[in-house]
Amino acid sequence: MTALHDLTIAEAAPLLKAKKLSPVELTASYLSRIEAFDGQLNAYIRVLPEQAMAAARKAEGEIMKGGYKGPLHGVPIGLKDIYNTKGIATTGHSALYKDHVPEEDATTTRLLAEAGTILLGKLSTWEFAIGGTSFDLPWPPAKNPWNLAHDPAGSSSGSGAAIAAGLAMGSMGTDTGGSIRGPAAWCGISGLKPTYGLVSRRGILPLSFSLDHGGPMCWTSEDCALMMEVLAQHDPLDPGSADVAKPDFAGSLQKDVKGLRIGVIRHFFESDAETDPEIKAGIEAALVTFRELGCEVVDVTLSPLSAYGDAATLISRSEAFAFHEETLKATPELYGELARQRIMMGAFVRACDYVNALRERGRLIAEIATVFESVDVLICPTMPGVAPKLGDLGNMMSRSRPSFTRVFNLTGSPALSVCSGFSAAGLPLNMQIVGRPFQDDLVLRVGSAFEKATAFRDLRPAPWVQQALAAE
Amino acid sequence: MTDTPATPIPIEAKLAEYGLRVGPETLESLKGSVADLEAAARNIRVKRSYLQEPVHALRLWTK
Amino acid sequence: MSETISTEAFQVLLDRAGISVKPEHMDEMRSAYMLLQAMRERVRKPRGYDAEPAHIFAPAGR
Repeated sequence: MTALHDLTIAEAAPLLKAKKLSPVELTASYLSRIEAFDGQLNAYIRVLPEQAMAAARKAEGEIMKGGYKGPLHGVPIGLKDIYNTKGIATTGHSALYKDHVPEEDATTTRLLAEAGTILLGKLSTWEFAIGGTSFDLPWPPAKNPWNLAHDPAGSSSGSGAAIAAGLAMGSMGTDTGGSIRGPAAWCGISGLKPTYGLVSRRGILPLSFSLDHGGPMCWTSEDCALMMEVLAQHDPLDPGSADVAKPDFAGSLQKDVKGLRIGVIRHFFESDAETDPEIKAGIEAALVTFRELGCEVVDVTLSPLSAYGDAATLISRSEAFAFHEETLKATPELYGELARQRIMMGAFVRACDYVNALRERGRLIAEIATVFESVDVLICPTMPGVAPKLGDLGNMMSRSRPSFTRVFNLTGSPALSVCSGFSAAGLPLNMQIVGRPFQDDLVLRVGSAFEKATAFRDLRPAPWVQQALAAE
Repeated sequence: MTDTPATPIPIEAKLAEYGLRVGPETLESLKGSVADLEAAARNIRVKRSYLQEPVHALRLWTK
Repeated sequence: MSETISTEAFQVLLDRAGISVKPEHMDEMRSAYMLLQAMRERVRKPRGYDAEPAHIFAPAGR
């Protein structure tokens, strides 16, 4: 039988519904695994054992009485520690917010609780979702479960690491420039940055108002779809929230991908940004799989990667500085070095540059919409390489690093990272699947079809457990 | 510290930074305008909750 | 556009913004500033008056 921590949400849900699996047993199993292994992994900032067990007992009682709420009922999850949790510290992994205890839940926190999820704890992040990988913060950075010497990427580092290591069944990350998809890529899991406006940002600590997205991170795209069923709700308290009909996530997964047109943004990884041969080979192999599934594959051309990077960087730094300016001046010592330096750059963007970046943003959104008239989804890598050693990420400020992910924060498009295989060193390879606005269900369908057509979801990062045990 | 300190940079230098040129007769009246602008910026710079978002939003949907 | 900014000139910008940088991070910040400056230059290009910002203002919560 599959170990409890290797069950996906889609596998556990029918067992929970049929009362063959107890939420109490499931939660206790996750808590004991966190207790045993998270000392090495640092995925959690704060574990909530009593609260989690109380919620599990409540869920069990409800299910036993016939009050099953749906596929997330009784499912243990973790939240990146920038999601507000009423009465529980939400730190942003920063000394500045060490004692920040919100008076209300983020809208997403509430929706997940109402769906019956069990909150195991708060997950580590780059400081305020921008400063990392850092070693000068009150908590250590998370490590990569596939190899503890490697970086899990950020900023939703704990969210990615916990899922890959089997320390949560689902998690929430946030993504301003790739912070869901990067950790999903390097941790070998599935992570969705939804369409801008589809998931509420209310009560999530802001980094850049117009580029921030909250979204699910799970072992499979199917599980992300189950999370999205609950998360995709209009929220009048979020001025960017879209008042649209919810995509049919469950229904979409029942359909195949035959006949879909896939656009490959080949110049992104062939000429715009240096990309590892193993990543490129993973993409080519994935395209073969998609052709076998009946998809048509064509190359498409967008503006160069740097055009997206320029506009996104000017916007994100300006918006971040606007939020952090006062505390950055008053108490700079409460920030880690990387967050301080990166946010500070916003001081040097002029108002006219910001507005012109927004105008450029309008042009790039229109451009991608035109490309989407002839294809259903776009494909390119998520990250140009596999996870480097922990501490080798560097500052990332003094080097020009075109990003494959930031493109779709700028356009607001739904973008999913999936595992596209493994490197010779045993680290996950990655691929990004992008869709038209509010076609998140189609993006997840394509991701899920790929995962089911390949065997990459069968391989779990067992070695990290052996490493952890050896270190005992 | 809640206020940006009064800038020690002369207006001429600021204009040069932006590649702007004005005649001497404009400079004097500009000083008053710059002071007004700086006062406005100081007034705007008050403590705000992170829940207070800009009114402009990215909207990819129509209704 | 010059390829670098002197420490003195950068210090003026820092002073005006009211932020401080440790001496050991000065060079890193200066080079990052130049990258940002290059982005500003690239984004600053001719546009028609119909090239509006992507963000919209919707009164009364739409």
